[in-house]
Amino acid sequence: MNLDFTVVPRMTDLLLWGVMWTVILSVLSMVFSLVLGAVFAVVRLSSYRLLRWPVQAISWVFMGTPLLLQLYVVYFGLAELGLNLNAFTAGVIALSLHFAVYNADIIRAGIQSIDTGQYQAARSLGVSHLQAMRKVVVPQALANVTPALGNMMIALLKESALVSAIGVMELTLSAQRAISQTFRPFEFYLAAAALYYALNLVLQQALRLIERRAALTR
Amino acid sequence: MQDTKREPLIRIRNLRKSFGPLEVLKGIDMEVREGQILALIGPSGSGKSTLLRTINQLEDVTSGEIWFDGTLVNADLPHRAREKHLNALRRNIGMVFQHFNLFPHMTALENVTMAPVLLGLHTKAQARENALRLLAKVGLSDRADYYPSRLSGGQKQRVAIARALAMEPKVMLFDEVTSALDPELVGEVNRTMKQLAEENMTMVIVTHELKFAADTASHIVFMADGRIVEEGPPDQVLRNPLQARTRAFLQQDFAE
Repeated sequence: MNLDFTVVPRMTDLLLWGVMWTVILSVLSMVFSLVLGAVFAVVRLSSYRLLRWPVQAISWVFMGTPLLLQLYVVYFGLAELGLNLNAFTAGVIALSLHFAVYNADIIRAGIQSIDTGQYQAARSLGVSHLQAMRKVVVPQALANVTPALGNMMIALLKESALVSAIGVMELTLSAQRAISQTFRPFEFYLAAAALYYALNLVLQQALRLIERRAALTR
Repeated sequence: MQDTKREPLIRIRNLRKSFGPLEVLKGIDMEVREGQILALIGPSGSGKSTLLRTINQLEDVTSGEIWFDGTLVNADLPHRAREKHLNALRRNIGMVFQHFNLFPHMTALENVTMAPVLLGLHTKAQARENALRLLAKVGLSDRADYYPSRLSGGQKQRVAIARALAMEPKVMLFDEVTSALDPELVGEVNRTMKQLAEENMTMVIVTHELKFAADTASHIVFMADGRIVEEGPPDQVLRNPLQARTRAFLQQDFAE
């Protein structure tokens, strides 16, 4: 077997394009999955059954089925129902929901670990349940669960490769394109893997900074 | 001086509260008049903290009535209406807790400004100015930008007092606010409370410190086993108690 990595630089533009879309796809999905996760967590802990049950159902579905199938259903399935999403949007929706339900469980545990005195102190000042959660309880819960959520974000970045299956030209699909032009699978799969690894190194550094900031203010 | 004909600020009628089979408040009748400094004393488990916490409904009650400023606090309302009703009432009822419960992710200043800004009472700038004035009042001007983790227990409790005062409440509830403090830090918190008392703030103070109660309170309520045993001016209740139960408690306490 002779590996020849000199073919890789010839496809730099294609790979960088892929990196760019992987970053955009992942960052958007991270933001949505965290915001949705926090909302789901608060709803799961609320006393409104009418809100709690749909969220509970969403968690079961998105935790109990493979992400790949979720992508197919959101992209191809909804199209059959007349909802034509472009592949990128479908990818963001599926990734966001899939990770939101995991984030929700982590955040819920974080919220339950906050001393009830915090909530009571906020309510004793006359602020509403939602204000007390949003300003007092959830921020502290998030600070406590930052490491766990960080791990989910790293997983999300890697799992975003599955979105190639519905034709989004992200890093994995652009590597496959490069392979179909050069017939060099090993080189380009390794190059793509190295690029994912590099992206995650950057992400880990960012998470470390966030964790340190969260720890500083207490 | 007090106008005794006016309706008391807080009026509690035949209040009962059970935790499961355990009845912790067994029919309490109590009044707090405007400007009164009422100290609730009694042995641990007598129900005094629970009683205090029913006033702003951090504890709900089993039966009876709590009136605050002409409004029935524990009115039987649907959930959403009750929440609105309580939010409005709680703005006027400040509370200070045994374990401070400062928000650790906010500076001292942010702790004080949060509620007035959230509730639209002040703009950010007004709230900040007001908070700085209150922090100065409790002697913590130089700690405005400190996070709670860098404050001593006494400083934390004074920030908590400033936080409650920022809502300009009509009454302040103090729930054993010096019990979690190192002995040498108790004085600074007591001084802050005395200062408030001198400004005619209406205060209900649950405390184990009989000397502080004697010095500061205008009215003492002694509770035991979920009932009010005896009440009256400090000189009477603490120096010449009528009830044997009160005498036993005072002797025990002074013997410690």
